[in-house]
Amino acid sequence: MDKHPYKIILLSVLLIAAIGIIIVLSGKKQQENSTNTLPVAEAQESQLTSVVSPDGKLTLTMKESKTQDNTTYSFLTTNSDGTQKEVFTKIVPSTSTLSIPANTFSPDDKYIFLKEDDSGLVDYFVVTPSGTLDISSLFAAKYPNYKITDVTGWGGMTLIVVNVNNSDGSIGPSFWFNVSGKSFIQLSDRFN
Amino acid sequence: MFFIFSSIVILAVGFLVNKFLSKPFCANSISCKDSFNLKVENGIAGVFDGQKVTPPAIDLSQKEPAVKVLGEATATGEKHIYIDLTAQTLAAYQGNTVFMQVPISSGKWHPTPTGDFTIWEKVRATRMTGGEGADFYDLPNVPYVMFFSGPNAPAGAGFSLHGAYWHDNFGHPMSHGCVNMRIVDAEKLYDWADPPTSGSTTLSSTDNPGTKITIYGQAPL
Repeated sequence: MDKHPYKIILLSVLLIAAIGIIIVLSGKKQQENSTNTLPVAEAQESQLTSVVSPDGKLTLTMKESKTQDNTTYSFLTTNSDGTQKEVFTKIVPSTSTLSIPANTFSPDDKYIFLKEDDSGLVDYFVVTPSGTLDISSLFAAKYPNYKITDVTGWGGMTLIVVNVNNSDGSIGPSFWFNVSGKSFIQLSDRFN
Repeated sequence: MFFIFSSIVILAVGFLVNKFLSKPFCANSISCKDSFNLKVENGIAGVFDGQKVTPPAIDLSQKEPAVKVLGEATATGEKHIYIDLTAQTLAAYQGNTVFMQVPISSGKWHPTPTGDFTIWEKVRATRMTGGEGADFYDLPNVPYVMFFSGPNAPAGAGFSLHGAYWHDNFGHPMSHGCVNMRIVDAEKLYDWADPPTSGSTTLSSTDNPGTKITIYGQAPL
């Protein structure tokens, strides 16, 4: 026993090292497995935003579910008795964000408008009972020399206030976007 | 000599005609002082920005007592409403306690007066009519109206804070001189502001003074 004590020590060290390596390797394997088994489609509920209509009758809520590549935005209205209705859903790339502007509701609560920002490219669109109307693309097609700077709210039951800049960057006029006629009306006054 | 005398007479007559025949300024140029009276007209369409608008129906018997919110019941001190025209916001305080802070729409087609004012009348609803041409508006059932007056705006001018159901562009000037608020915000302020609401029309008095209002800044026109 006492003749070769170094052999016992060496064996012990080797045994401990082997156990250590097994533990480390099995831990790594477990980690890899857990990464692989994580469902790609599993979403994280990360944000919830609400805006109350000016008459207090409806609340618009935005729910945001993120995956690795996309974000799903769902918009629901809740009325005073608690009844909920999904009014719009959109899946966008993870570079895009949707938001509810403060003046989103039309005065009669028939329409809402939303804002989408894709890495600085801002798009405004109206959600109607029969679908969506893209204010930005409709405007760009009709007035290529102006650039929308802001859509502030509703100037009337179906009229959205659109502020623009001229192509040289100077302040341009304001427009109404008439949701019912899908048309733009240039205004003599700027709506700041 | 005769020419000078004639000129003086013509000028004097012109001055007197202007003084006695011209209308004093009213925030609502057509309805003017009629707007000071309670007027509930359900089922009548309004006009704003050349569009037909549907006013909210008002049932005076349905008004529930104001619910005291946390903070309000314990707040002490003088009530004061501050309106920042530059930021287009309203902040209501009792002492140092903020009661509410909300966006508003001040005068676009006519400036909202600045200075210190006091609420002299609260009316649950009225009809406001004014403007001309494309700017004409006729708005029945304007809710939660708080008329204010001060050195820069006599009571007869009809400036007020009130709910607005015909637009949703708060945070930006949109009115003819009054202070437009979201209906939910106007209701909350109406229930809170002095004189304490008593019926559908409440007048302030020496014993029951109205809440003070300070309007400052410059609207982004």
